[in-house]
Amino acid sequence: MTNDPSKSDFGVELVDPELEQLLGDAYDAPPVPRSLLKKIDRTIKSEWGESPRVSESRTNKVRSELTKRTRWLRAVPVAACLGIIIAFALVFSSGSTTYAWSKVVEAMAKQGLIEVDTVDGSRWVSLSERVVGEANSDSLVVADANQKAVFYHRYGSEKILKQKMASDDFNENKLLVHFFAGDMASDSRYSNLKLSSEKWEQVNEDIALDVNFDTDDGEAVNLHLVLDAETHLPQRYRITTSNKDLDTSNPLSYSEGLLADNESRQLPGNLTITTVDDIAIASLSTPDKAEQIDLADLVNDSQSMQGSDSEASESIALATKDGSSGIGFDDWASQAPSTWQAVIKDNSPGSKTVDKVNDLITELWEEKNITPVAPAEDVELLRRVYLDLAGRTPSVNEVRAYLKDDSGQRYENLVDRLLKSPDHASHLAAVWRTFLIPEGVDLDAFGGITAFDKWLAKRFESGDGYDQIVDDLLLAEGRLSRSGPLLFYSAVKLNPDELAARTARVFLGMRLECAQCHDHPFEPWKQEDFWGFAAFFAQISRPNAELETVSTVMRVSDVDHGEVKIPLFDTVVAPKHLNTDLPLEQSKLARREQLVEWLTSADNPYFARATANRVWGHLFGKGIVDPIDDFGTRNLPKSSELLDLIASRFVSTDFNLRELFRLIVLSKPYRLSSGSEDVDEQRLEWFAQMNVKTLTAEQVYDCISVATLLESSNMENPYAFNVSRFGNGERETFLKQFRTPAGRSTEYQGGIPQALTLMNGTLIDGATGLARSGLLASLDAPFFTNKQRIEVLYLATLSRNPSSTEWTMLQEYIPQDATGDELHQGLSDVLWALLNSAEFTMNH
Amino acid sequence: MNDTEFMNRLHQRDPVAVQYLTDTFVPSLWRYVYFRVNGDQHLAEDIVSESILAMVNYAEKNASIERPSAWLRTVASNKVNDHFRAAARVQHLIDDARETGKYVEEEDAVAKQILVEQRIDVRRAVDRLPEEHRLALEWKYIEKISVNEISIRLGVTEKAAESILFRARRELRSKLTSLDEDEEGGRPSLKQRESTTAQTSPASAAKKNNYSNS
Repeated sequence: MTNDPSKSDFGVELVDPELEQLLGDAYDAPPVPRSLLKKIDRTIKSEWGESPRVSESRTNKVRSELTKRTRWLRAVPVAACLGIIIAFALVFSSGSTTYAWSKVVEAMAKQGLIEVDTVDGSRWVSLSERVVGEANSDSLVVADANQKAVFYHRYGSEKILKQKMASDDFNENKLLVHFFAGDMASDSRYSNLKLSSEKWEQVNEDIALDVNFDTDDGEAVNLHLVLDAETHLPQRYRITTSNKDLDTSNPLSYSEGLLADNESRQLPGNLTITTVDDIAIASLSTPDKAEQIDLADLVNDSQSMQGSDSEASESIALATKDGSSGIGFDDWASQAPSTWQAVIKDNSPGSKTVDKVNDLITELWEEKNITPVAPAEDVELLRRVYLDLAGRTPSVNEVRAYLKDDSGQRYENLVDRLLKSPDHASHLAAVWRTFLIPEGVDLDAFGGITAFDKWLAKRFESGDGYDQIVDDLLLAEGRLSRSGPLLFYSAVKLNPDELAARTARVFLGMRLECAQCHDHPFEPWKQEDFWGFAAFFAQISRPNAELETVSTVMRVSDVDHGEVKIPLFDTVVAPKHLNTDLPLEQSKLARREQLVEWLTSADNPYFARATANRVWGHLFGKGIVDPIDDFGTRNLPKSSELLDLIASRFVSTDFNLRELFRLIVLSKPYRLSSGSEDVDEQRLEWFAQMNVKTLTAEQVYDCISVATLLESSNMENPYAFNVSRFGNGERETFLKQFRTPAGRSTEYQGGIPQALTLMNGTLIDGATGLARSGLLASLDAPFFTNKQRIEVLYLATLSRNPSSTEWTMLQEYIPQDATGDELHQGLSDVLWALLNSAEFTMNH
Repeated sequence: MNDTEFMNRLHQRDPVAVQYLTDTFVPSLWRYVYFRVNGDQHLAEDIVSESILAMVNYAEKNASIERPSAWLRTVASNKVNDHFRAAARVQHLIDDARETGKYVEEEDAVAKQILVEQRIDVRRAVDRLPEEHRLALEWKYIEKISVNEISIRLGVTEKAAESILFRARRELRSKLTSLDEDEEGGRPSLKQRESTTAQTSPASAAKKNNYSNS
């Protein structure tokens, strides 16, 4: 074999230094090491009985290499000495603090009562008093090493059961293992506990200590503690036995008080103590009140499932009866989210679904004894639907064209037109961006929000199904600085936990991040569920530098490795979908692909419901499940059947967002007025009266822009008008000044900066000044009467005519015969007042 | 020695076959595994030797492997995946990744990131070549093997080997160009791709805090 390419190349064109360099750089790996060849020799020898001796063919070459390097070898003893000196120096200079189980026990013994919360109660230990105990909702167990007995008391019982300890080895180790693992009644467990090994390491500011015990019966116990570096006291722990994982990450709490001072931790003093052989058996056979307690438990469980909200439980009752929706209905809401079933498709025509929604909500009102307010007037509904679907008020031409239209389907036609307009797509993009991108993050290094908004708007405008749009967003790849959708990733620095939290909130309607540091306090999500979900985002390429620094060249793509682990516990968690405990099947798909395949499937029980609820929440200012991203057993929907009806329509239209919007804005509750003569919170709560929503910064700018004709409208076709939302510097400046913290749209979030911007800002100044305002300039036309001019101002800003009271005031302010500067100033003042009115900045 | 003869000799436990294997296929396999495991030499050695053992065992039972190099690569790739999936073994890799993924100085960061991205691009493009083209390029331009030797290894004439190299270079350039274009447009959605074959991504190293690509 020759290694000289020039000797045997026939074609000169095969010599390619550039390619050679390219490949040489890309494959800059060390040569095949001799140790590998030796390993191959050994491996094959074990199979064949003799070695092929492939490593020996290189021996001579290696020898000659070594000979050349003998001078380096001479330096080895010196280097070794230096190494030892440095190692000693490091050991002695880095402080002598070490962490060991014995020190932990010593530190814990100096404490009084040490407690930890369990699933339904708590456990405690007092090493100085040599007592360990556990209480749950129905019983109390105390193991007292001094009395060498275990006591059991079931609440409500007249007795305390006592069992003598089977062994005499209830030492501190055993007390603590029982404390961490529970299972107080089985005192014979963990007999002759022996410390087999221990290891500690520093993790950030904490110390992780791993302790292993062996027992006589062969059970191995692993205790993983997170210690406070100064006090040596455990802050959290995880315990695993060879039988099962008893993990918990609940924090430990310490108090100086003793058990003797804590009555709630002690056995009742006035009860009969009965000695039994085995508490576990005796407690089951005890005739006292067991059945009653079980019954009480059931009642309690049932109450806790329904939450404390009596209204919510009523909604379940309503939802579970045979409603009029016509789809098979199984009330999922009160069950654990992991057991929810997918919504059943509703293939009936859209108009039928609107009727079903109307029937269902009417039943709901009757059930709640609520009288809905009157339907909204034309102009109120017109302004609302423009603001909700197009993000702006209608222009004067659009208001007039709508009011002039006397066809029976004018509202339906308007909705269809708005849903297909570019304004709808760009408005929806801004709304969705607020869900997808966290606030307060400097995004300039990643291309800024405009590219993201543009991408979203383009996708919404395409009319593609929402499932495809979400697919594209979650599977985005490419250069960070060039790809709009990648802002979703770069805004949270590609962190799997933040991506998981946001994805779960926006697309599944769940606050899964509550299970990030510990099991979810209210819902049956475990820490493993959260990190299993986060693991889907673990295999994305990441930079070896600050993301902002390399964002111009950094490319996001799927890689085939990368894991997440539970913080502090070093447990690597495999990706897992939320509604199954089964691990993922082997697949050639990248993890993100496996996620979206599940997430946007019609079989996913969360996606369609969460989206339906999100759109409902956007239109009503309040979701059927509210808050909109907090589905769970403690936050039940107002009507799970109503939500399923809408979600099933969404699924059956292949996740068509326009159809979803259409269904809701054509429904009866959306078309109700926001005004009423009396205040009734129940009406607002149950969608029997429209909530008044505050406009977003984007909406305020666009409304001012439309109202004051900063952008000219098309006189020939009033419906061809669209606002310019991208590349508009003035708009971006205004948004920076006017933006308020995200919050409920039904609550006013603005403050002094927003009020001042509206009163004195350059935008308002220009919009109400003759020099810039197209509206005021157009009112100069001689064929207008002053009354008509005022009407135009009202239609442009509030989409309605002045009321009679307003007329009275306005006619005094701008007399019919006013002309010239007096008229100009008057109109300008009225316009300023209208733009600064509460009505203008609200969506009624 | 062509592939059939190699497999027959391996089946017959001929040491020459092992020598041929280590000369011909192991360097390429070594590089492939080395980059897949982010430069962890010990791990790469384990995986390569285990893959070769798998081939030796397979040859014992059934001597017909049409493309030994591709077969080895698939086995090694599966072993790398298995390795990363095995939680018990992942831990130390995560720790290693912390070391290998140290933040670089900001002023060097962009330049280094560009280099990393470019090299990943090249390896990705090479991985997507037909097996014969990939091997020919690696032999010729990385291992500096003569065309004559390449032609023997491929079991073709020298002219045919030159032709293979020519086409391999052309195809590689074309793939490198299309990678540049791809990044502008992103990838098609999953549902659009359902009918097409899923492509596997090459590895690149990274880590961050308590999650890591390792």
